Amino acid sequence: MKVRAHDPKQVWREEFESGQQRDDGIETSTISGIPLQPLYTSDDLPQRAEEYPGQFPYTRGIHPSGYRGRLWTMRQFSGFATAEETNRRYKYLLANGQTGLSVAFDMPTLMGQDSDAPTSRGEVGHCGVAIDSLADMETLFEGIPLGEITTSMTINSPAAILLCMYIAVAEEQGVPASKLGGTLQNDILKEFIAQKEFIFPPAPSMRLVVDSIEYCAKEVPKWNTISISGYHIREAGSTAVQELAFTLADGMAYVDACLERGMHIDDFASRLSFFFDAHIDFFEEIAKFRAARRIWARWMRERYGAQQERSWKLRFHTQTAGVSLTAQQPELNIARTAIEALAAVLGGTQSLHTNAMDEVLALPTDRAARIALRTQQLLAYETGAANTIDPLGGSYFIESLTDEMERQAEAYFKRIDEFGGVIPAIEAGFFQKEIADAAFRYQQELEQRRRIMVGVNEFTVDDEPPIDILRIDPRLESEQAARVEDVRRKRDQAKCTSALNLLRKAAAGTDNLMPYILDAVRAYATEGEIMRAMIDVFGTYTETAVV
Amino acid sequence: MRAEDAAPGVAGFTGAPGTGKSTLVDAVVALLRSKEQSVAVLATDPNSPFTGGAILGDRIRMQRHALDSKVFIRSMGARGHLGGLSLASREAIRLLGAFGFDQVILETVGVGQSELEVAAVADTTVVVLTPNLGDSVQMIKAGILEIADVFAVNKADLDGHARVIAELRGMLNLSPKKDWRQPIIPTVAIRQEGIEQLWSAVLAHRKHLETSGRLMELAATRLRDETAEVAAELARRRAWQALEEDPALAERLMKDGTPYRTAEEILQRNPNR
Amino acid sequence: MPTAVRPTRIVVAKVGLDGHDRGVKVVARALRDAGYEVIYTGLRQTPEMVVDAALQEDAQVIGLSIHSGAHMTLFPAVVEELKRRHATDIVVFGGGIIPEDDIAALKKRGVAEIFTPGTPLQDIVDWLRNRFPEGKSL
Repeated sequence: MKVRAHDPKQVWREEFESGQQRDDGIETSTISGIPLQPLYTSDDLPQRAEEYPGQFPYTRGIHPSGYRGRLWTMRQFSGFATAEETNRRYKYLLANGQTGLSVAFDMPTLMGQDSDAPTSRGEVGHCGVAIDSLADMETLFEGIPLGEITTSMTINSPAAILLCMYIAVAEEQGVPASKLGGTLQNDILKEFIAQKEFIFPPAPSMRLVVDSIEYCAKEVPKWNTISISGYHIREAGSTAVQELAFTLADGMAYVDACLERGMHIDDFASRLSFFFDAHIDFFEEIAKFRAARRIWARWMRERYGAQQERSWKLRFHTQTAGVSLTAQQPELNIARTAIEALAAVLGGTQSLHTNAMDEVLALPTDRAARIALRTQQLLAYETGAANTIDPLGGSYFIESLTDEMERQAEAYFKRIDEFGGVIPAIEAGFFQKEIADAAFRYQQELEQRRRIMVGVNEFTVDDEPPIDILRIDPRLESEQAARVEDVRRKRDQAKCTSALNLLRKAAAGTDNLMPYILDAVRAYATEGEIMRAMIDVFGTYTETAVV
Repeated sequence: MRAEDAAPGVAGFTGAPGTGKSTLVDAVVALLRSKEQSVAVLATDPNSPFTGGAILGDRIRMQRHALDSKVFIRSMGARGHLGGLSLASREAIRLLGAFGFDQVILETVGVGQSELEVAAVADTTVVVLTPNLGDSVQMIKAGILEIADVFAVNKADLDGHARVIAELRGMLNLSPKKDWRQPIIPTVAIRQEGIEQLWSAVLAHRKHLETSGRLMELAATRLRDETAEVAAELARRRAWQALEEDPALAERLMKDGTPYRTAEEILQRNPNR
Repeated sequence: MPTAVRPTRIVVAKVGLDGHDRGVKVVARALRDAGYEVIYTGLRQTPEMVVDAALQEDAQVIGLSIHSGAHMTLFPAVVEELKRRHATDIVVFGGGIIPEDDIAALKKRGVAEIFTPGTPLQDIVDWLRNRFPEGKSL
């Protein structure tokens, strides 16, 4: 063997290239297609001044004390069928150490429909809780002190309505809105891009989002008004870079809209929060989270001129990737979720949801939900992952990958700019096409065994015992329908009709709609009725599908 | 069905991808429905030349007419027919007329020679353009100016629409159609703007065809054209079949034959052998 | 070589309220690549809309995708609507979040096949080819 005496890196390279290489045909790039070197060294370390947590641009974290100061919030998303059952599950989770509530709503509620609407047929209670009116919301939070916990509500088009219901329930508990803490997803742009739970066209949809941000800035100042989401974009098939770029671009679009409304950046920027996916390609995810913080901080300070530090700090919630879970050998999902959760923790997430192993098939059973929660507790208390801040900072690989993702994200921002911004790009089908292409490419890689999903295209098992899954009782639908009819019967109809009429009038004007929605909610108008009043003015949106 | 049964008016819409053709057709359908007319839409998308498959994506742009019994939408693959309209389209149009539809709209992507195809089948051909075609109207393929009976400049709310209209008018002035002056109609299909004017232009052209006697002429020409097309298609199929089933023939072709001679031989064979 | 045989036509749709269209779009592309003519009718289709489209398009197959758990209501509703419109020769298959137990029940109610998450696209194509051996283009 010839030895070049002087350059160990060269030696390594020669030995690597002449040595054994795996020939299984598996891709060595990230799951998003970013090519990876077999080795990273100090030569790959980007040249920059040393970064510190709690200091601009926050690559290493937004708090100087990281998890030593405070652990991430363990916030498990859940909701089942009826408000009563969900209330029970919440109390169970809180008793078992969950530190914040997160509400999953059923499809009709997400789509602004009452449980007795004809298009709600077969859909009530299946993927979350059915909320038709303030009455259901009261049941949902019965015995739960809203002044002492924080709640995240995952809902978009009708988000303003659900927030008003939450405020109204708190009122009844004697808790002023100014004390309320939590998050509203309220991210309509990603609906047009990925999740498709839109109702109104883009312009009035944005108006409602800005109304809620403006209202909360004054009345509910501790509330995170929007959870600008990459999760759904990723789950729809995008790459990690696309998730990063499209989410931050959406964020900027919301900032632009609020500034157009006449708000001052520092009045609302600190209450914008983010929501990312934690997918299975471990290191790419960590780099993604770090790049996100850096990019956002720069844009807030340098492009938008935000003066206050808290406006520059990107805070985010993470959910482990639903799309990485398999129906086959579902116990493996516990391992996948643990690894994904670790990536989120090493990426510095503020709050985390870990998926249950049976979620590919149905809503989680108690047991599966508990394992998911315990996984977080294990990470927090057993692994030492929380003991050092940004432990992978300085890693040649992670720093190089962080920079690469930042670069690729910036390239996307330019392309979006060429369309004239996020909304024109949505209308041109730009995001949808990128996502559909990435999804198809990944599927082909799986089919060609260039990427592996254990249990699915490799390491399969022929006879799998069925696992217990949660079934929603079909009677629930008729019971819930009866409940909403009951509410309609018992309320002060005149008060309700008057509130809806005032809302309709205001929608046709330029007033902030939140107070009108709040009045309608207090009058026990149903969600469907409130949406209908706004649809009468705004119309509905049909997307031009891009396959 | 005789040539004189030109009962449903047939309007063809053609244009490059991205011009918003389907949205425009959707808007026209909405207009016709508001006038209580029944409409059939034949929308053609190209098939993959390799796999033969296609994603036929026009129907999805006309969602608002779903479940309207007076609107019939059929998506067709061009099925290798270079002109963009499958052979079946012409037959389909006749059938739709027999079923009593007031209007038939053809829609096809303007690739290859499909504009010519549409023009041969439709009474009135609408060519759809948009301001953001990248380059100016000069780049538009030769032949479009001749086959268009009406121009629709869609997405007219975008910058550059005035320029497209002006350039188009300039070109038309240089090479005018003798008897019919092609109107140029700005439209914003997604906002249902300009649609009324567009349809009036189509009707005006149809009137022109009737009064000038061209309608009958066209119908006769069309019938003859179609016959020739069908003959060509049948001949093509016979040729392929012969080449596949007769290895001796194929061998001769490869050794010392020419396509021309081989083709003549095939055509002279009795197909019912 | 131009097609001498009519490709099988498939209407592909998302029924119900959910908007997760990643899978259905990937399947649409795969079917196109396998030589089928695919009409994607989009999101939020009711059973009536899907069947109406299939009839207008003279489709031989309907593919349904659903992720919201409402498959036990909506898939049989499509089968019922086909009966009502005298079009029971149209074959219905589906995919999405559908538990194993439900698959047997759906098949009893007239759904020909269900493809769960993780099914290779080739399996779907093979199944269609078996079902429709003649209707394939080159």
